[in-house]
Amino acid sequence: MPGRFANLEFDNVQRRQERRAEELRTPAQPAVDHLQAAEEESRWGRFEPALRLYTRALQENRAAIPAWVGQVQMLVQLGEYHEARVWSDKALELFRNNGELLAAKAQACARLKDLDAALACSDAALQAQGSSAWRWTARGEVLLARRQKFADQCFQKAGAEPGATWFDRVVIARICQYYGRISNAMQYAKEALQLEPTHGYAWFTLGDCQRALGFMAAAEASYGHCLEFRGDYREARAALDALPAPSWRAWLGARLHRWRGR
Amino acid sequence: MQCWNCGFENIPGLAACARCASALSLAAVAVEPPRASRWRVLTHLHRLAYGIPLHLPNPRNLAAVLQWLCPEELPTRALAWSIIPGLGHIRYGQRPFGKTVLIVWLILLVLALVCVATPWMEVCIWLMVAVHALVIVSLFSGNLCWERLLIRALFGLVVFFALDLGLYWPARWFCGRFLVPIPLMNVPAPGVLANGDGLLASGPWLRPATFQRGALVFYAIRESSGGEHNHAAVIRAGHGVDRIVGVAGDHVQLHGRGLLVNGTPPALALGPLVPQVPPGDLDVTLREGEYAIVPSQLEAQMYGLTAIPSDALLSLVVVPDDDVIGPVLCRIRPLSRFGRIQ
Repeated sequence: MPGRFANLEFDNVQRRQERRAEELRTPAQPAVDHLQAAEEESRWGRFEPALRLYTRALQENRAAIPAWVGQVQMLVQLGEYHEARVWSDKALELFRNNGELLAAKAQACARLKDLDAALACSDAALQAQGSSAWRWTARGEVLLARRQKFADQCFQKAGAEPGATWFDRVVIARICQYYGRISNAMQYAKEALQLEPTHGYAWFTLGDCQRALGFMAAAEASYGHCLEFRGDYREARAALDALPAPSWRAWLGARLHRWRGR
Repeated sequence: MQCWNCGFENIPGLAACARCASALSLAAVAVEPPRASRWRVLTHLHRLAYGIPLHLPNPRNLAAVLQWLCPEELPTRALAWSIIPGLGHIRYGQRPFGKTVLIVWLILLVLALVCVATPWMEVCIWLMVAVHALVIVSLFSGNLCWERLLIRALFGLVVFFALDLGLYWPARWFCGRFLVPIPLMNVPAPGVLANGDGLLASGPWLRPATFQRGALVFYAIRESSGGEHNHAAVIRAGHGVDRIVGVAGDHVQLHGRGLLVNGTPPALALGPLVPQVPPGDLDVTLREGEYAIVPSQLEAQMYGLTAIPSDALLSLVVVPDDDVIGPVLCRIRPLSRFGRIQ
């Protein structure tokens, strides 16, 4: 006989939360389509269209937290850090203490050189329920920005997360590139290639790292591989065309990068 | 209601989750993120410094440049319909705004017509252009909403002047080919005409090929001067309204203050508007394509002279056909004296 307290939850909170999270992961079909399209664009480094698609996904389903996170990430990738911070604040007003959003805000704060806020957000992101590669990636970026040790450990932990994919390595590689750690970036790009050797963007990222380190022939080959997988990828073609001819200046620059990038 | 964030089951009617304080109702939440202005140099410099793609369009590709300038889709059809302000909004869904704007614009148009030949007409036309610019700018709102106020104001100004030069000025020029409103100012000897009067004249495209004696015309006065050393008379260029007193073949004489056409003084209805004629002596026979107009309402600056020298008077009185803009049709202001000028 159902009693008056039958609907109260005592010991099955975890199960219901998991079920709810599963529901949130599978929102309405148009939103899912937009979300997938946005992720696909972002996996090809096309942040502007990806941002639009994340917005469309949110227009279909405002509760799609991955789309909010994606918007903040795309704003950061587009160099609009103030806007990313404002937007992450707004998203956090709606979804308090959401770990993924806190991690995204931590990244925006780190890029804005507000390192204390970045660390606080990253701490909160790791304390929040659940775990993900993105939170550890953001943690690694914050530590990198603060020039602290253990950034690499965070990145490795991100790579070791159960849901981590090749693209998480690419994201880490881009972060390392941003902070001038080109050698590390190349290492993560190679890891990404080991996991997904058939995706052109992994080759493209590797090519960028090789070009920065002065390995022009290798970069040319990597961009060529990228174009094999996607012939119409104009960024790779432009990068291929812009590869500088060997010169003493390029050689010196590459030596400096190799010396700086550990 | 279950929380989107933590999954907690809340009692119905709550605005925020009792456990994590997240919003429970997301229906009214805006999802368009703020964007940095495309004109913000700092962002571009930052991108350059860190190797972030600038995403600048190829300047040779016009479509790409337009796409960069206006990333949000432009309602081109509404834009085309907005040649009349408000029609675009009315046809494409924003009826209240469109109707309001259209009514305001029509009221201003009527006011401009009522105030024709007064300075208020200009004010009304400028307000019409401003309303029109507002309508156009509102169609770009999707692209402008994240721009800074200064950028939006500059864009509004550009649209304003583009409309003024590209639409309203050609429209006024076209109307001016048919009808010319003439506000009268600085009339030296108010009589038949007075300061503040407004006349309506035919434009060049409605003007007859030839004029008869006694026709009241609107014409251009060329700058002329005469005299020597410190003794000179200067007549400034401008426009005048007066009667034609002589046509091709007529013999026109001015002696002192008297006017003779073919040896006889003209009848009152065929002479100058004001019988007072400019001081000076003139004896001329008009050739083909020339008219004699004795400006009775003339502002001349005389330096040490009591009469206008003959050469200056000649270029003043003998008006080439090209300088006659058109016949004056009627007086339109003040309304109490509306009608043909007697």
